[in-house]
Amino acid sequence: MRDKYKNALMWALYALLFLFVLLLQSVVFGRARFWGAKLSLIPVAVACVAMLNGAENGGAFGLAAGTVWCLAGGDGGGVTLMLLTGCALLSGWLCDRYLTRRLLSAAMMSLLSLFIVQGALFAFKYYLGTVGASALRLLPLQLLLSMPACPLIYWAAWGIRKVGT
Amino acid sequence: MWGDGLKKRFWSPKVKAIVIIAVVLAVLTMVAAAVSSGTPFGENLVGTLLSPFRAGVAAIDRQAERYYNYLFSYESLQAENAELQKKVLSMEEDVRSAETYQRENERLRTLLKLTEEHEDYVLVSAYITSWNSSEYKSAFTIGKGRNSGLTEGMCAITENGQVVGLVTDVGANWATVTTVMDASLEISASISSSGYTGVVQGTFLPDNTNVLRMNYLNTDAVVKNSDQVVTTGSTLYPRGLLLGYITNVSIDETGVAKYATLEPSCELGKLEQIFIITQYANN
Repeated sequence: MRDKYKNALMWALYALLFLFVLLLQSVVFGRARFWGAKLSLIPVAVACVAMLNGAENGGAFGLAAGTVWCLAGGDGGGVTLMLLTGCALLSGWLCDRYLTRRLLSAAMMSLLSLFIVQGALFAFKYYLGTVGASALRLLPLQLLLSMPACPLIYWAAWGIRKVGT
Repeated sequence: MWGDGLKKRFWSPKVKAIVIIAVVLAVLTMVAAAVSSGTPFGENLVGTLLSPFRAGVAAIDRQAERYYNYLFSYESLQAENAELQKKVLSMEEDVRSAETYQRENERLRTLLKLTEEHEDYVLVSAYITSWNSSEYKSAFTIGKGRNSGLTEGMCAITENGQVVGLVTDVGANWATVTTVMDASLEISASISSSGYTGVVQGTFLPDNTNVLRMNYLNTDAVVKNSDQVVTTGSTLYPRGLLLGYITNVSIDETGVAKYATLEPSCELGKLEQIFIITQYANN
């Protein structure tokens, strides 16, 4: 019973962490462009939570996060939903199989998730003709700008994980 | 590349279920967005739940920004204040002469029985609570929605009558405004001085800058820099609202029409509060 309560509390705190990151990205940094690029913190949060909790639980978190992001009017809609779920599954699985659950792994998984989500979104928009090929220049800048948030989100996720164990 | 063992470990029944649910949800949301005339139920629910959080964080963010500006921009504000005082003195003189013209103008207006401009507008004010964080979209969320009488397609303006965009999604206590800079929005417009008409649309240039363009101008159109571009009016927005000022004119890619690059009439990034026109006389 106590384990169930701790587990429920942990996922409630993860939900709060996601809400915090969502508001930070859309409200506080929503209008700010740094050298033309905007921050992308959601893939980082999803990767950090998934790498700490494994492919199955992390994947479920990615699915929930993607659904909320999609329904909150986030960019990419259903495509982002699938991408976030896929990144969470991949991050969780890679950490289950090959990596230790440390900050360096979190940074690698965050970078990979950012690359997959933003790269695929760019390809999708490029295919639809919404953006030109030159907009690809923003992708590395966006990755670079978003990565400093990784340690903070990782430590928050790591602290929450300890609540559940 | 992977052995069967690893494949099996990754594709556990739970992972398969997650992938299937994700695909189904993604397809459902895409279909709902395509076929639904209004805001889909799920989006409305999440938007309504998030709205108080967004409004709260936006209020804190505004206060923090003001506090930061007060702390770190005091000296520049003092210099600006001195400069503004000089301007006020010079403007007071202008006002005195303008008052003479104003009285004359009022007499002429009475003579011509012109009605006061825009008195038919019914406005709802709203604060911006969050911005779409996409690189390629220009839209924001406001803290008013259907409960305040907003519906899709209503026009958002500034307090000076400059067009900001159109309401594209509405929930109970929130709404999304897609700005004039977004590529998805096309607004029929005319050049106020000459009457040439065209379509104003947000466009990404090859160097990734987002500009406002007036397309489909007649090749014979004589267009000057700084000419004002205003809306021609439609069922969605009234006529005569300021969209921007012409900064450059060229022949478009097809070679059969001109286009003009515009400077938007308002600085979207600095907006805090906007006004939605909920009613107007559609003449």
